[in-house]
Amino acid sequence: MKKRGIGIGCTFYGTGYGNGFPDISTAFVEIHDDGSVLILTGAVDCGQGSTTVLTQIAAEELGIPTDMVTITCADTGCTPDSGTTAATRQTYTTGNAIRLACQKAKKTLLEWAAKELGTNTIEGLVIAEGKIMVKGHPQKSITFKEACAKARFAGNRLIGEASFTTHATQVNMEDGQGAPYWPYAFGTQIAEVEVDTETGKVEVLRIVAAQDVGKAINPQSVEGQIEGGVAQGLGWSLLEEVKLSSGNITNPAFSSYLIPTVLDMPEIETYIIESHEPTGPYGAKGVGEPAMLSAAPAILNAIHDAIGVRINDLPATPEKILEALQEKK
Amino acid sequence: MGVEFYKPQKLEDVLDVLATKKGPLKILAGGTDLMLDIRNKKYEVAGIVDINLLSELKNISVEGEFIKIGSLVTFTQLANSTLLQERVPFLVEAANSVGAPQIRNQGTIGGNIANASPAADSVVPLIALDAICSVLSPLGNRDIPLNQLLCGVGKTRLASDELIVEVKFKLPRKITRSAFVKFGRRNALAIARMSVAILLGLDGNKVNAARVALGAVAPNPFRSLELENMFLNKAMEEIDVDEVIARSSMVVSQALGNRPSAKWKNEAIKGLMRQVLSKIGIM
Ligand SMILES: Cc1cc2nc3c(=O)[nH]c(=O)nc-3n(C[C@H](O)[C@H](O)[C@H](O)COP(=O)(O)OP(=O)(O)OC[C@H]3O[C@@H](n4cnc5c(N)ncnc54)[C@H](O)[C@@H]3O)c2cc1C
Repeated sequence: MKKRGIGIGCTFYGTGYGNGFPDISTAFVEIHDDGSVLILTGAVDCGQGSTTVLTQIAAEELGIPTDMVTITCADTGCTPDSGTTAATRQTYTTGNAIRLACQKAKKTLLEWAAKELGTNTIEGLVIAEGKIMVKGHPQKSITFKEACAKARFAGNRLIGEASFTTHATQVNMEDGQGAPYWPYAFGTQIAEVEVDTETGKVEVLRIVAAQDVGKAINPQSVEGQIEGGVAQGLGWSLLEEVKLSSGNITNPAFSSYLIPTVLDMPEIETYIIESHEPTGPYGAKGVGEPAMLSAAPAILNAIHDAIGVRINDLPATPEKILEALQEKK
Repeated sequence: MGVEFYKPQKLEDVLDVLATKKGPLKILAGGTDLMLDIRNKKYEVAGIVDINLLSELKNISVEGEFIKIGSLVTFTQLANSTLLQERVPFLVEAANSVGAPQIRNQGTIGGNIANASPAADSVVPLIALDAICSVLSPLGNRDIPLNQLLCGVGKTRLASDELIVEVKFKLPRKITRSAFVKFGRRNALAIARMSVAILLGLDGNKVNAARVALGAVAPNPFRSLELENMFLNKAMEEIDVDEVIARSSMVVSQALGNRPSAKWKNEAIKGLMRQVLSKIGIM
């Protein structure tokens, strides 16, 4: 018989290395004569899209389009260390470093422009639409390109370098108490499943996933991260298991270590929650790891709702489901 | 340790290579099993005989009362054949359940048979159909029933210089119903943990022919006469579904004895049986 159930999983996740560990990213920025910008940073993009997001952050901070920004990431020959792409930290930590570095380069440029435009503070200037303009009096302006060329010709160097350290506090080593991370990301997922009580097969029919990301700098890639997180969470719940024999992995291949295929994935409805993280670049915090966490409790709770048994040992294979059903009888 | 590669143009040339070249030789069809086995050093190979130029092995045809399928016919070809879709839809379902599109484009029915996996998807309906393999060697031609050709996990009665040319089976009567279900650990790219193929011939509402084959519960797929008898000479609505399901569990249990997988399979077969019966329109 096929039985359906619905379950909810709510999780929170500390991003960054945590526990007082040095969690530092560094970025170098240079603005050229033609107004184009070069960013150097050690952040590795392993497909999750950090290079895109970091480019957006630089462009936003400088008030220029993203196609004026060239970014070189993770070239040990020339980029400064930005730590590992781990702990859901690159958007937040490296994003902050880039933002700070851009602010420095921008300050040099605006100080020159303030004199040129006859304003007495750089706060009175804004960069937009390819121009540096006086706030409230946009008629008084100079093109961004011209300003860069002239400022440099006058002997200024439009460069910036910054490091950002993510706040983390060591926990009490005696009892493990404390507040090791900053910031935390929150997520909720709801799963609807169908369990075949004769074969023990669990089919996930639908997942609704809401994830707090502070601010979605690139909503489409955040959606992709949430959907990818759901796929990993589903695999973790129902399929994935590293099997060991005398310390050797006995399933070291994708033919024996199974991850979900597209035919195993349900419809996913994603909701991006923007709570605004004051310490993050434009309010952002990370999304990578936290997006996968809520799927497992949601799916396991849905299984419980469907057939009244608790699976506490992942993955919830057909064998375990049938065994639990028999024990219940 | 070099491996020789032969790519003969004609059937006679294949036989010549098999008869004269230094072995052990391995026939290469789609390579979806062979290449992995060679890489995993499952056996020693001195030469690979690629038979893909033999276009005469790539046809599906009707001859007299037989459907004949060339050994190089791919799963995709099986799945797209209107003849098979009409007359043996369960073979089409089985072909469609193999791996993923890439594997179905590449893997062949001959390779599926010769690889002799307990879980070989196309073999389960072929066993239900009492298929016969036509085999060629330098000594000549012979026909061997599929259930005799297969003789254990990964084992066949093919001699080292023998080639499967085609697999054939009697065209089922016009009014038949058939269905195939497979249980895999996931919904694509999964080897069958268990599979069932069923074919019922009907005279009006009465079952006058019944075939039930099970996959991945024994060294090779097999027909269960015991289960078939529960359908024979009954009107469709007289078939005792609960009894068939209960009995299928006993058949699986007998086949598996106390293997570790028996505990799950003895139970899970009930769900598979229910699915296949509902597909065929009995419940
Ligand atoms: C990712 C992946 C997924 C798979 N999924 C499935 C699945 O879902 N279901 C399934 O049943 N199988 C599956 N397989 C196994 C494989 O694809 C099939 O067994 C396929 O039918 C093998 O055919 P082939 O043409 O590739 O054979 P090959 O690899 O070329 O040959 C297999 C064996 O048969 C011999 N042989 C081939 N043709 C002949 C012939 N005409 N005469 C004599 N001997 C011959 C070869 O020498 C070799 O020993 C999968 C394989 C992979 C890699």
